[in-house]
Amino acid sequence: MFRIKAWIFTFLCCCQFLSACSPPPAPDQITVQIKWVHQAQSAGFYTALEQGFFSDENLQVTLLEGGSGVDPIAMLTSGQADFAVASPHTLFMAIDSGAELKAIASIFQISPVVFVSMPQSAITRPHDFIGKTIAVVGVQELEIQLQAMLDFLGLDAGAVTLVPHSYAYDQLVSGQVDVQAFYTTSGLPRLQEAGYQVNLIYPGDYGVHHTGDCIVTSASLLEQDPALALRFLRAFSRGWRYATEQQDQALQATMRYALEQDLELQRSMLTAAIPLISTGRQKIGEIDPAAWQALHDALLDQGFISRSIPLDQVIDPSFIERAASECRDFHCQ
Amino acid sequence: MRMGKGSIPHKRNQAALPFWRRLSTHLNLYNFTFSLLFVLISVVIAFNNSRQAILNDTYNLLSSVNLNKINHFESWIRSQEESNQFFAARPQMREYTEKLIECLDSGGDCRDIEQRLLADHLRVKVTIDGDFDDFFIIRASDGMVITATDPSHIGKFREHTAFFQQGLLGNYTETATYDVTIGKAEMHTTTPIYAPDGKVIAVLSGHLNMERMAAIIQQSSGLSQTEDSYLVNQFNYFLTEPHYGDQYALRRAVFSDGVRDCLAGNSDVAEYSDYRGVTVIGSFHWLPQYAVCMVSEKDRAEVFAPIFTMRNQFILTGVILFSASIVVGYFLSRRITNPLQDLTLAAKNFGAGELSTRVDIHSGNEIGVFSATFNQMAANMEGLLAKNDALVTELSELNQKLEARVEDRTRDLKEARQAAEKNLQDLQQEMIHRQRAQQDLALKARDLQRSNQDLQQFAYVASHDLQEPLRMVASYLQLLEQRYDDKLDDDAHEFIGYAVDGAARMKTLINDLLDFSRVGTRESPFELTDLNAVLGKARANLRLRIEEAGAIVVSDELPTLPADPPQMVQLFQNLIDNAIKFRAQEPPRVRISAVEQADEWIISVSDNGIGIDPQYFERIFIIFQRLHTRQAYPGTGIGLAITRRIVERHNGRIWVTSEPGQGAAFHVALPKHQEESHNISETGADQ
Repeated sequence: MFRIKAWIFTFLCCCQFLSACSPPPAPDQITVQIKWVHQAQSAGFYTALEQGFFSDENLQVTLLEGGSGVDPIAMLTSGQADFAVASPHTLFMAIDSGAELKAIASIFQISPVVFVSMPQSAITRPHDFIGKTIAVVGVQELEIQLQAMLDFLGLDAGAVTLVPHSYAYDQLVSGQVDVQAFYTTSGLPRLQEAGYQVNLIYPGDYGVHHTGDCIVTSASLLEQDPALALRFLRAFSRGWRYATEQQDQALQATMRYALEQDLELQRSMLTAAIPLISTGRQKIGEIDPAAWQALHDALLDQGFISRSIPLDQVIDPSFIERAASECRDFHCQ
Repeated sequence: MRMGKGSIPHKRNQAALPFWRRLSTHLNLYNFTFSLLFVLISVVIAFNNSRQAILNDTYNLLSSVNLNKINHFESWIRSQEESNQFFAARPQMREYTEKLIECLDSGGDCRDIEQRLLADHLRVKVTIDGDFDDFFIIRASDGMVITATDPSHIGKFREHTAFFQQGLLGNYTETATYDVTIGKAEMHTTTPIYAPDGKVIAVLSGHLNMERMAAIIQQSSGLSQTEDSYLVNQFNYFLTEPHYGDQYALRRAVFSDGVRDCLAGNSDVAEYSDYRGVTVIGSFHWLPQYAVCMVSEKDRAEVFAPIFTMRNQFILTGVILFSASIVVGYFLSRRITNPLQDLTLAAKNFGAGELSTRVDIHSGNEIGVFSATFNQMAANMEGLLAKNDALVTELSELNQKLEARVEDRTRDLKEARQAAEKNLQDLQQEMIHRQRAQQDLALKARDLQRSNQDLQQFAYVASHDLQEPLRMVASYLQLLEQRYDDKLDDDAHEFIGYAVDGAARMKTLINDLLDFSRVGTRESPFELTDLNAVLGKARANLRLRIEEAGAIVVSDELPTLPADPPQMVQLFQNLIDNAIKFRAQEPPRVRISAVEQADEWIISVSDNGIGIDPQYFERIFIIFQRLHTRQAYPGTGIGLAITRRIVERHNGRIWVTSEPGQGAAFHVALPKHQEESHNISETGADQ
């Protein structure tokens, strides 16, 4: 009996000693501004939170919900967010304006933009856009891709009527507009959920190979605390890998945050998002410089940026490369 | 139970020792441990050997299976490439393609050419050759799909794809990629289409039938039930559906140790946890030309099923062997411990006094020798103890004799004591008799007193009642004398005179007797009485007699003591009268004196009278006894009797000292104190 007590005492002493030697450091508080409202397109973040991937990196993450009127780049430049999910073109434009920001990972390897027409319209390819009304105005990404597509095909942009874009699909199904741009990860599933069979015209089939949302942070953060960015990306990478493979759990995690509590809708969104994230051509989060160069050229052509910007001022693929190599099977070394 | 002649049929007393200290427990434990160790070591060795052998076999088998799959895969791909190449090299294909491109470039209506190309070539090829799903023809100049078996592809651009860019250069097969447009994984094999001048004008792209490819890869070797083969791309994603997966191709990644090792460029066989989390034995090979990994796996449970069976058999055999060894060991240990227990029991019995206890000897081993030694020892001990018993018996006899003598002495003493007790009892009996006699005496005294009282009463009553007839006799005699005085002669007178005199004497006697009896019946209680006053009264009563006789009465100072005053007066009166009566010639001189003794006063009345002859000292106190004739000294002779009676009533004594002619002295001894009881009894008697 005495021996057992002695052992317990020794054990407790050791525990105290060890814990005194290495007190667990307080988790780093970081704020992430996501691009849109909480829905399946951000499932990787929710799973990373739910599965404790951020905690494993000793990070305490606050997700700031986005939406119309929220500018993720502005949140970064104002210092309100440490990381942001943004459209690549906004990053180019911000850098063009003098901001020192960098993309360190791509979420969507393929842009989720798709142009949609009703079947009875017989509009099946961009050539059919001539003389039609297209709802894109107000959303730069859609305008850029439309213009780039028309440019690639040598079609006259002046021959189409551009009208303001709406996230609702009423004007399309009612015939007010002939073509409306959608995101395959949010608007399109909603339309399909409503039971509409539609024609889909992907910019990727017509020479436009832009990437979608990316992770942006400030150049100063990368300089001052590169380890923080790496830790964040490791958790991010694991979160999305988990979400692509364990879709039911990712969906459950999403439902805890989602604004629209519609399980089937969120499932459709997630199903649409996964092939754009995990393409079979790249690692999750990998940055494809060619795609970025193509975007850069398009932006320069279309006058969204005033000058040619070297890619290394815009992207830094090294972090995600390293994060991906250090992590496997949802775990990191 | 193998006990000797003197043995008591005890149960072997195992409870005497706690089980952990018993030899049989130790022996059984050793036996148990060695048996267990033996069985365990045997099982482990056999199991490991079998396991290693099976593992080696499985490694070899899986390696060859995997290599076989690779061969199938590569030859299939190669054959599709060759097929595609031959197809593209067909003269009509080249011709129509060139025409279509020219037509498109010119901007004319090209549908006819396109339809012929499709109908006569591409669709036929898809229909005949089930290894392709679709065919495209991609214009070399811009990457646009100019025709396709699936019309939705027509007009789309594939300028950026590897299969287009590489297809311009020669035969190329691209690993599966996800096609957003058609919404599924695709795998293309491409080959250039040359113009007659040898210039590449287009690329023929065949969309490989992934199901066919997966079927080829999944085709079981028939050697295993859990065999699973699949392709994984460089990003860990499945390219073909695994055996236990559905919709896994390009949808699911696999991060098993085998795949990880494979993607690092290695080819090996290993045991690891697969995509299901099930432990498998897998063979994997990296195919750099396709940047894919071929994996063939088999569940470890199946691999080791034979050795699990063998293990179970081993365990069963082990348990049987083990049980047998336990049983054998048990009986073996009993062969050792039973004789020991017999010995223990025998020793115990021997110790309890059963000296004839012996142990049966069943073996010639050490225990047998030990048992024999024990028996020898018991025999020796028994002999010694027998001698000892004899000595003890002798001693005990002596002791008995001594005890008998002591008993005799004790009996004598007891008898003597009984005699003494009897004497004491006799003495007590005697005392009881005496007490009884005393009680009888007291009773007699009481009877006597009662009869005395009765007598007094009689005397009083008689004398009192006698007076009346006597008075009548005397009166009638006197009347007779007076009336017949003259008629009576002298004799008659004389006779009558005698009769009257007799009556007169009788009357005196009666009066005296009455006085005498009154001493007992007419008495007063004792009180402190001044004898001087009493003497004064007596002198006063006798004044006439004293003066008449010319007597001189002198007195000393007399004491005061408890007495009946009237009787005291009578006492002095009688004694003084007596002294005067019996005077000599000279005038009487009476002297009254008192002498104090320890508890009494002696009052003396002495005179100078005629004195008394000592022989009459007693007689003079008896009633009606006279020493002299009536003529010499008148009186009835009652005075001293009354006096004595008064003295006796006062518990005193009276006696006389005298010599004839020398006077006499009457001495009265009176107690200083009177007992009250006497007084009471006297007064009681009076009532």
